[in-house]
Amino acid sequence: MNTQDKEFDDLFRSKLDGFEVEPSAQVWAGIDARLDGKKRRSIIPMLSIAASMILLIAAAVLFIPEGENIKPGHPKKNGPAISRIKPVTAKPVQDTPVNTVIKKDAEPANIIANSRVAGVQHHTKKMEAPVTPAEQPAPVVVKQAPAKEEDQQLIAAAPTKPAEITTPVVPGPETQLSIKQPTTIETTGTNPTNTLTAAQPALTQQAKPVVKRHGIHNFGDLVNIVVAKVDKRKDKLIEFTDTDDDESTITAVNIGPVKIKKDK
Amino acid sequence: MFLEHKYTTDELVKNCKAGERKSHELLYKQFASKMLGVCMRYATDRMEAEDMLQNGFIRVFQKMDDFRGDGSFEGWMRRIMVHSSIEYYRKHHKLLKVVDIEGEGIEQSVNPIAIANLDAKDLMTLIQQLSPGYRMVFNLYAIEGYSHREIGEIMGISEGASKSQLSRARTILKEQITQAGGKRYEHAG
Repeated sequence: MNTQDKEFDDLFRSKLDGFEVEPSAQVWAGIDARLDGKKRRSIIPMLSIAASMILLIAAAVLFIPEGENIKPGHPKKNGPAISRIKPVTAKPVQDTPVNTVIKKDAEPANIIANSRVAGVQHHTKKMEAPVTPAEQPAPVVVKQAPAKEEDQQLIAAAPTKPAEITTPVVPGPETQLSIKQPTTIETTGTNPTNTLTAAQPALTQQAKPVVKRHGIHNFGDLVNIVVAKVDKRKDKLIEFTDTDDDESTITAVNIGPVKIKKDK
Repeated sequence: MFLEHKYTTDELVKNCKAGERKSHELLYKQFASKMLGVCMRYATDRMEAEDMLQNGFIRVFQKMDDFRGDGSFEGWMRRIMVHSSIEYYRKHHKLLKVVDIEGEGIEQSVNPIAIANLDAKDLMTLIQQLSPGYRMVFNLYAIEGYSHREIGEIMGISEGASKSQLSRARTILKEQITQAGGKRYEHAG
């Protein structure tokens, strides 16, 4: 760049440097509106963020617990009755009488009894089919089954009755076992099988009500009660059901158009 | 009382940062005319210039917190106006049509007195009549003091292209000034 160019540039700069033009009033009006708009606009995203946060939290509270429950829930659909009976009702009714009865009854039966107990879990399903149609006196025993442990133990003391009690525990194996060991068949044999068959469906039926009737054991129960007070519909706003671990999970949600219910 | 009180620029800037609405307007009133003078050089006409000014001021207010007080506030504001003008042209004109001019053209000499005789308004008109690319390079280099490398980066062109566009812009301006000067002499004569 030669000096002439530099001179030329300098002349322009010096001439234009102090050049001022009064802008029209519209310019400030536009700036003013934009500054205003910015303030107004800034509130809307704030509100929408807050609203979406609330929605997210609500959705999380409502749906995440249910999502976690899906994993254990699926296998249950195949055999819900069994899994429920085992921990909740089976222990008080089955375990205690079995041990006491067997020991008092006859010591040789111990081995069988143990194997039966093991067998019960495996064979319960199979048992139902063949045995249930058999006899009807079973219901009598069933009524006794839910009795308190103390009663059962008393019954166990008596030689004849214990047999009945044990029966519900050892349905299937017995028949099989009886073939191998004829001695046991007589003591526990015929009557027990009847009771067993009856007892099993009875237990499964009882399982649900028993679980639900428990008082307030956890947060879920509390919510159920509160919701029941407020929501008189058949499908409650939200319904919890106890799981095996004595925890509760959401099994039903009814928010107007959205209804979710998990069958057990 | 209030109207008579004259705020310094620093006070206005401080109050603007504090969100005081009245200070925004006072600051605008203090600098608007000067900043429109800057924008005019980059614009084809006054309407374009006012668009640039408006966008520039909005950005000034938005970025007020970025001003640390290192240099003068006016200088900071002026740079924002220049950038607002550049952005305006990026949106509205294809100014990057780069034409490398073969040869520098005939070196035209202009009588400095001819320029001196032209007032600022005339010079402004001459600049506004330049094509957007030439106008941008001439403004940035001759008046704002950017280097060709910086101009190349801003406009997305090569350093050489910036140089040749500047040269072409000067040539055109000189021609215009000579013609204008000739007319003046004719009128004067």
